Amino acid sequence: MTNETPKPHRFTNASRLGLTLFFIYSIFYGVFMVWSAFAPMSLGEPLFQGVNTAIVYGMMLIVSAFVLALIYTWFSRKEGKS
Amino acid sequence: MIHLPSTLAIVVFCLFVGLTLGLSFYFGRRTRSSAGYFAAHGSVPWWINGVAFAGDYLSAASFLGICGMIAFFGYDGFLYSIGYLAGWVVALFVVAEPLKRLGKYTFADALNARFRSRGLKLVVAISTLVVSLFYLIPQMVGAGVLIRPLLGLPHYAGVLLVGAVVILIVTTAGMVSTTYVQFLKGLLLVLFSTVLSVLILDRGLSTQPNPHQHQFVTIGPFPMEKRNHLAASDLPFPTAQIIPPQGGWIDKPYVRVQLPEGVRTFRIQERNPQQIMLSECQTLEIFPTGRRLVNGIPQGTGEGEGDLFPVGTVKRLPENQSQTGSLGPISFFSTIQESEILLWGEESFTTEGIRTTIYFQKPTSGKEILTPGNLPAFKGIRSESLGDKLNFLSLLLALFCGTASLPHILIRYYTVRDAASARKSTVVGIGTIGFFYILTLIMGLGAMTSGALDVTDSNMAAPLLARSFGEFMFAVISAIAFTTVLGTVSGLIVAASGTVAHDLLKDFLKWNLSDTAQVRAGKITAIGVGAMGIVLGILFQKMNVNFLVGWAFSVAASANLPALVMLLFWKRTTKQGVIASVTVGMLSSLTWILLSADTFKNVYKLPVENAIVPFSQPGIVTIPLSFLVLVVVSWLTPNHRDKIQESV
Repeated sequence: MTNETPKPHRFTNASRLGLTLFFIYSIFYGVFMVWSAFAPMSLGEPLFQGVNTAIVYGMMLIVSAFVLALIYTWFSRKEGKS
Repeated sequence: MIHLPSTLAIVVFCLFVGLTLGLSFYFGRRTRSSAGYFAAHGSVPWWINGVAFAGDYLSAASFLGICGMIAFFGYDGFLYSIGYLAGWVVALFVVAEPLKRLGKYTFADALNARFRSRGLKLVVAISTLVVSLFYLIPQMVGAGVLIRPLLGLPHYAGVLLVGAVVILIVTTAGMVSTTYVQFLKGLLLVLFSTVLSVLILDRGLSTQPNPHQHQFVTIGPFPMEKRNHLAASDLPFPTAQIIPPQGGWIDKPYVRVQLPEGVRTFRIQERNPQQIMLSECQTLEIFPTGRRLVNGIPQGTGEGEGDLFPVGTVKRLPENQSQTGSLGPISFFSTIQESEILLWGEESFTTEGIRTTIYFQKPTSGKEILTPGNLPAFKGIRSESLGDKLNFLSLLLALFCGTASLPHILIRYYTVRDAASARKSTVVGIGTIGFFYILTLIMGLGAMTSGALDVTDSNMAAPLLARSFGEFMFAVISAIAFTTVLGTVSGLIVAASGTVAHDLLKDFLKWNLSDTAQVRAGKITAIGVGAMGIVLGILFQKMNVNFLVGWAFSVAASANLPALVMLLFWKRTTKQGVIASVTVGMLSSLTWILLSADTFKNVYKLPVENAIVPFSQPGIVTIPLSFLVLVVVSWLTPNHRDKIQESV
């Protein structure tokens, strides 16, 4: 085996922001997982203009992933350019 | 059902395949070096890479599998859409940037950047190959499923055709041609899914979407005491004879009536404690010789032959309307929520080698369809069973963690110039994929109510939905579905060939390969993996497509993600820790899957009670286990950083 040559960890602002956003989204997704597993029937009740909570929550999970991704890319746009 | 091929479909299909091959040959003349072959020179524009992400990721399972699952079971199919998309958050926020910074061609490069260990390369290369192979099989099976109705060719012909075309794409220009094929496929898939969704909303919902639709009858009510004594005179068929129950029909809740045009089967259903109703079913009998009887007569389109009727209708609309006219997306969902839809259940038995399947009507409220837990595999979440709930959570966890661990997705990060381009392309990818997944709910529910579904095959839901809008839409959607397979399989083969040529031959076996020789090795591997894919695609013909994709996600998440995350965020991680974590993650998730009830039922055909593990999805156990192994082994093995401090 060859020698181990550790590189020092470099936490850029982008990765710090990324981890914060990841944490926020994980909570949002985690609540959905637990809610679906333990009280699925309550997700079937209408929430917005006759559309039920399951669909509204699911759509929000998809849309918010995109919005968070935009925020992340905007605030870290100056980092990692070659 | 028998699906007749159409000339238009064949023309559009040939056009698509010709276009993708033309692109490959065009780029092939310009790709000579290994950097070009394995990573497209790192020069792909970020927006093209973003759409190519979608082309790579949206596999046959995503398109055909999810649409079919929503069409047959409702909201549960959409749970896969949500999980598959949420995984991209892990990919972008946690993995993308460091992966781009540390690696060059393959996923193993990034994991090994700190240690430069041959053992680690070997283990990660094996896990890459295992995951890619599990992902490859369902794609090839999907190609075989599509080719039958599209071109009228047998299953193996579809698998061979995809294999041959993909080998050509990959060997001509490697990652360059693969990227552009995926870009084209991603673009077309999203574009035509949008067109299909607009057509669905414009058509609205109707209780009779197809004027030639067979009207399934319900007879009754009858008093409960008639349950076992129904006579021909009770039924509205004056010349009918009731067939006495024999073989597998004994003690089943069905009445069968012999009519001149075939056998009509009715399911006895309780209406209330005092009354029963009879609802019409469809039957399919398959003999050991391959002969098929549909509703008592030979399956076919000739004289004296018949076929299963297309299904999928709204039974009752709100305020008893017969049709709604065009709807917006919100009113489309809210109308389904308040309607009653005719879903179909099935029951099978085998007597003297004859496999009989009964498809029966299952009117279900829209509210129930749009609530999690309608899919048989998820039914348990509506009960108190903790095992079923854990199984469900485990699947959602594997979907969340799996995306960021799929080698064929991760290598796309090496095709762009820098970390900033990697981030921007992921945003384009998330936008494109997310938009497509939103459309899956409209397309799936559109198929559920289109009156065009094949009750025996949920994978055909999207193409048949398209057919309900005319032959042109059918031709285009089927050809796109086929290109979907081409795009994903190309990505998988590039990932596998990079791993063999770069990680195994050059880094592990220390073969002294020139740049040209590396490309040649990559091409030979591509042919080998492609050929293996063809053989496995034919062998696994009967396997459920989504089932195998689930395996790939679970193994990827358990084997690769813990090592990747800990390497980036825990300084104490050692190479022994990483090797142990990847090995344990891969073996434990594979073992768990092989001992699970799902595999007992679908692969070994054994009773599910004999399954050894308490639930089928491994992620919730094996992902934490892999993390734990990494931490423990890393603590027990010396860290190079400690050694430096001691010597100081």
